[in-house]
Amino acid sequence: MTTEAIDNLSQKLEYLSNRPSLDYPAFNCPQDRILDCLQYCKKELGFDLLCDVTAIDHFETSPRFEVVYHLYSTRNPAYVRIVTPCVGDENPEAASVTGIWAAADWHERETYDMFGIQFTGHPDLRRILMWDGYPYYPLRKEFPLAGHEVDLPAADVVERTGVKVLPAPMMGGPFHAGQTGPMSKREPRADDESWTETKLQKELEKPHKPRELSEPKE
Amino acid sequence: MAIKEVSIGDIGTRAAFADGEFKGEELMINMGPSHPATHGVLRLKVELDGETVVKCDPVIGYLHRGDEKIAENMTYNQFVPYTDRLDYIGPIHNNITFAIAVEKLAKLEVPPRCQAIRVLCCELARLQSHLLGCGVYAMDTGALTVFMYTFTEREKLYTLMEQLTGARFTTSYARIGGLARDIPDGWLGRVLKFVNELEPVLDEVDKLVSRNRIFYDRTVGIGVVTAEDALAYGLTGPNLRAAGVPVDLRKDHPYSGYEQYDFDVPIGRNGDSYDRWLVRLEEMYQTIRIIRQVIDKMPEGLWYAEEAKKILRRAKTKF
Repeated sequence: MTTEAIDNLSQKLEYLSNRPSLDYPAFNCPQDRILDCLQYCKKELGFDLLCDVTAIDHFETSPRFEVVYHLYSTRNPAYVRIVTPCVGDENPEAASVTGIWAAADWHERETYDMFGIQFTGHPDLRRILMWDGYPYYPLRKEFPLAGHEVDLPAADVVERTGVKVLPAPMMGGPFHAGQTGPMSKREPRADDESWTETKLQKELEKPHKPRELSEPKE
Repeated sequence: MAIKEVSIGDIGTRAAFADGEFKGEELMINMGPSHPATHGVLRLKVELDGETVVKCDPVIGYLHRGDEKIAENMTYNQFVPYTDRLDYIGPIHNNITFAIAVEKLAKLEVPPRCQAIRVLCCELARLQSHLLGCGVYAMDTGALTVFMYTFTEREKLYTLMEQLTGARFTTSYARIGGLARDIPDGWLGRVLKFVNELEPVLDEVDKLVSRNRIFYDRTVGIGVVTAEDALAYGLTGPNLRAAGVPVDLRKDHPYSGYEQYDFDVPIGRNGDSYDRWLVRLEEMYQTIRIIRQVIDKMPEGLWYAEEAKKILRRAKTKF
């Protein structure tokens, strides 16, 4: 395999199109051909290491979600990046590549956990960083930095044992301190009204208009 | 489970029974999330057959802080302190990796002096990381003394880091397009003195452990990861190299001027725990080689790119 072979990938597989990239070759691939394409990359071009599977949320455009695969060849050191759009905007779906690289198992679980992309054919698709039953997908653009209040994950424990479950000291969600309580005194950004949950709720009801940032003073 | 009565003195008979008939069910054990030996908090649901782990389900989300979400709401330079916390064992290389990624996006070239200081910092971070890794590795196999040796050396590294960045752990040293400040006077000499003192300590650690019979029995052939498995599961770094796959980004895709320095990449043969130990130990020797060359060739000039100021404007969109 040579670098030309990677550059000419879009001629070899005519369904691929070049994607602008600053470092390594990158290609767009339609969702229904993604398994063919990645199989070809592994078998014919020797991309034996799957570095990462992640996603991009193009908020308010369609297709909204894209899955990004970073491949690396250990025999002839080269990177390539393959991007494929997901089917569906609210409940996006993509094909699982766990059959090609075992490493895709955890990467796809993380992408599902953070973006809510259903990988069809994944053997064990469940949350990996957040707890089972967590109702949101935190890396989607509409999810606020402050997080949403949710019930504690141990409702079944309370029911079974009658023991009172208290929130851990880090309150207000997994990402950031809530607006009330001792954390807001230590973390001034928690008092910033511009990005809190309640404000955002009201804004979501209104027709969407991107918030303007004040320009920094020269 | 069938229990047979045997006389207490008859150890041979008991052993025979234990071998054949005392076959129980597998034992489920929860390790963590607050097990004293789990340094980063994670929970391992392990299934044991005697002393052998037959299945393990890791629960890894306890330290999830959503750094990506935080970064979305910040400028690039604001995020540098968060990168310290990604890997607190050798924080300075996270700063530099993040800066290099953003510079690639901004098409920004940094001057040679900045690159050389970055290489030096990255290699010192490798020493920090491997010294801790090897120390606790030996400690977990029962050789507590090694930990004392390596931790003493790590402490000296923290002093060097404090002189360079003002902080022992949370260095926040890199900036987009450069570094926070130039290296202080006389610092390179102290780094050189440190690595000169480190080399005999590594020799001693090698002599203490690498040919030790007990250590040998506990690591050779244990936890074998074959090259195929390592690639399929996406291992990287020393773990992948210990499995016998010759991958090192410093050689394959040199960045920050790594192509100027002469060093070897150690590769394992069997992919077992012993190989992973040897690879890390040898990497520290190679790191010392690199550090000496960097100090020898340290270029003069600026430690930041002057055009960086024009590029870094506040992001216009925000979610």
